[in-house]
Amino acid sequence: MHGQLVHAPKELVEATQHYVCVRITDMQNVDVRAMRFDFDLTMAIVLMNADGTIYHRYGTRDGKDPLSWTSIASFSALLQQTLNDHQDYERAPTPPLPHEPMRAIDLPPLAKKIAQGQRLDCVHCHTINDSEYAWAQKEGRYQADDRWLYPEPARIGITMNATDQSLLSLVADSSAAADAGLQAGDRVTQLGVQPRVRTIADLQWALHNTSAATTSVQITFARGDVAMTATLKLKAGWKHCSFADYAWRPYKWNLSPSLGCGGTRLTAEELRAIGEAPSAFAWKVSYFADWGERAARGTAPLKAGIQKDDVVLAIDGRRDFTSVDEVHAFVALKKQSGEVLELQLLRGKQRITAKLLLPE
Amino acid sequence: MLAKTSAITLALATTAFAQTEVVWLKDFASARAMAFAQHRPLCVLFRCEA
Repeated sequence: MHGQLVHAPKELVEATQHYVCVRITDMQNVDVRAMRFDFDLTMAIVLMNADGTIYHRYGTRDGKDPLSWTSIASFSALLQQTLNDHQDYERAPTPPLPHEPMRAIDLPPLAKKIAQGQRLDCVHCHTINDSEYAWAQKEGRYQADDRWLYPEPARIGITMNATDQSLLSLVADSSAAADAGLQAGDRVTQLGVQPRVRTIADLQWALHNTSAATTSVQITFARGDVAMTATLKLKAGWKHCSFADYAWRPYKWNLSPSLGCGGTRLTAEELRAIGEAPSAFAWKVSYFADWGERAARGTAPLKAGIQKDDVVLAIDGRRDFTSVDEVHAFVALKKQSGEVLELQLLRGKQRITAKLLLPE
Repeated sequence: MLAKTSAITLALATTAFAQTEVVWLKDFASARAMAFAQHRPLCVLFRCEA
């Protein structure tokens, strides 16, 4: 993918000719009851029938690289394959049941802002998550496991081929997939609510819609020409992922507790200047949260004595982070509001320990 | 016009690609009506302008 030409990737242009293509840049009027995908993504693609039936989702990523699972080759292939799915579907359509549409701006938290006269320039995809989170919290519907969004295939022990995305390239030892007998080279065809798996996003959609409390789910796959079915046995916490893998998600900003402050990672040069190894992790405080509905969060680090430009060397003794986003994910996923977090700080040449009472 | 990129996001969403090689409609309802009338599938790209 790297180094390909922006201009006229021929196979992609040809593949799109069979489709009616539409680009949505603002979620305001999108019916969020019908159009579901991983709203944390900055780009997503849905291939669907005009009756509302979604064939496939595309555009997800792993924890490290936003482009890990997108390429012109994989997307072009998907467009071609989905034409067959479309033809099959049109022979015997099964449209979704009628429902009352809900535009993003009808979600109660957004509707409230609009009613209060707040101007919404653009409703981003992640804003849907923010609003649904706030709404569910307010109504007491939110479950702790709801934060484990769109689990990656690795959660069930499989690695999918990034180009031929229904093909298993690796099965982890002692995983749910291995225990179910899946092997590298198998092709996943069906999982949970997803009737035809063609993409990693399809697989994640199926896992997302599988309850965290579920202990088994059926998976259908092909080994060569032979169709096979197996049962994945899911252990408690199967949806969980590492802080590093969660770090990219804007969803983490919804979760409590929060540090109430943030900043940027020190460069190798900056680390050397303070006597740290260039490969070490440390970050400099550059802001305190003082905006939006959770503006109060920023007062907690200030009360703990933390100052702008303080360098954070360790949190609860941990230095094994790879990004400041991972630090935020660690606090949101691992800690509880009211818990005291110990931060090792460097202020000039002075080492300080701050005790931060974690805010909501 | 030719430019190298490492990002499919650019390939799909840059002005050059989006406007010259593929017709991306802007209104979902119109696109849906067209797809319905022509029995064609829809390709819906969600991507901010920024």
